[in-house]
Amino acid sequence: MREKIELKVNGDLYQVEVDPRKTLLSVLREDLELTGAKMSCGYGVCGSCTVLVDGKAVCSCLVLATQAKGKEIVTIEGLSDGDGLHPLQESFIDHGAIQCGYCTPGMILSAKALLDENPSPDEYEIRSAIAGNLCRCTGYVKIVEAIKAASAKMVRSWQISPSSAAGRRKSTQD
Amino acid sequence: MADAACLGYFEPETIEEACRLLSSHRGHAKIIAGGLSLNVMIAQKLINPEYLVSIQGIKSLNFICHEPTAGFKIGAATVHADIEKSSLIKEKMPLLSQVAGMIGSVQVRNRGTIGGNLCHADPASDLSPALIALSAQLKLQSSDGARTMPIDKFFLDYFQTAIGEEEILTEIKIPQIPPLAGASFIKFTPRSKMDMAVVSAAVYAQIDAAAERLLDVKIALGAVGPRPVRALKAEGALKGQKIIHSAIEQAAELAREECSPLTDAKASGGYRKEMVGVFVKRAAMLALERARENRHQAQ
Repeated sequence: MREKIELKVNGDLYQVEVDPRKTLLSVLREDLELTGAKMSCGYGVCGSCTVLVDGKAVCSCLVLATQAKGKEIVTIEGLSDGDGLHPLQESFIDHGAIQCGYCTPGMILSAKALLDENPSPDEYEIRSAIAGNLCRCTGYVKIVEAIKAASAKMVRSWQISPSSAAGRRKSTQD
Repeated sequence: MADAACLGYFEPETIEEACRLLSSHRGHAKIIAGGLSLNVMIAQKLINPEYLVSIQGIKSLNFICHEPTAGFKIGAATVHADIEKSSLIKEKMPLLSQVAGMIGSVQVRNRGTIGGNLCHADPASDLSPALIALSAQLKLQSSDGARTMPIDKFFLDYFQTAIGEEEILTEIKIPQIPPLAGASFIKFTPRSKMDMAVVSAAVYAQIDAAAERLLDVKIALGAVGPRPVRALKAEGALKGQKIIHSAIEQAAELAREECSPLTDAKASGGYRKEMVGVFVKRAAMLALERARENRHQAQ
């Protein structure tokens, strides 16, 4: 059987017809041609398929598309605004945190989910947040540096103290 | 994702409706919550349900409640992340928050549910031994009614539990840890945060007011066989005994003898057995330390 569902991805509404067992990852890549999220392990270990659903990082390879109805889905394509990159994207480039780029979309989204909840994480908190995103190239050091630098930049641009309660609300840049 | 056609996907709004759907499609329907375990089993062609009954949206399955003496009641569809971050759980039963926070990654914890974890019954599950040591009770519901089962009796074999084909796990009840008692869970992962346990040990210890004797103890081991193991001989050797190092050493030895772990890609059976001894000792010491701390708080 197939059912018609509506998905909200990066602020846009899409109507797709799917077998209920089709994954969100497949719909994003095949039906919506948003190929930033990658298919790698297929069982929720590598994180290359990470997207945000209602602000939370999830592995889209294990979310049925139909289970994502009515939720806010954000993919890597939703972070940049035309040619304007998100501070996390800029920071990854500036810090050499991208080599082959395969883990990058998922890694950046996990980092964004972290910073949206915890604007000034320490190294342990950063490493815990990206524990579900495997990188075979970089050894993670540059990635952690990039996330730390991005968090500092984002906090400065909000012009509030990192520890204030207001700082824990969503950035105006997303 | 799988070969056989999907004939139906349902999103019931109540537990009763979900039970009715399971009954009417008996044998051909599976419950899906976060879908982490189920979708993997489908992708690996281990199961092929024609009907999926999603309990993701059933509000009465997603809650965390606490009563001072009764302890916690947690809805089976509550995700690990909510349990990990719950300020109520951090205050009243911090071990539960710690264990939930050890499961997988952020992505896994945002989707995986406590009920799904228990029903999937992976032998290396973290929650299973921890909840056994905490004497959890499970509420199972079907169209015929509800029953409560001590978690000790729930796990039967690899990925097999005592849940009926038409039953849904709805609630997990965890009694409050009394004063003069403490609990611990230690998970041995040689490589990284994301690993499944090579061996895990959960200990619950209740001491007397003088903190000299062990009144009650529960020791549960994970990842040592097809299902979590209660180290009954080790428990028996400790109950009523003076809390001295040699007693704990002896109990750890007995716990080692009570399991026959297999060799797999992660570790050899012999190494696992050796580690059972190490981690039972560590978990026991930690549980006793917490029991002593609770004693000071109770005074």
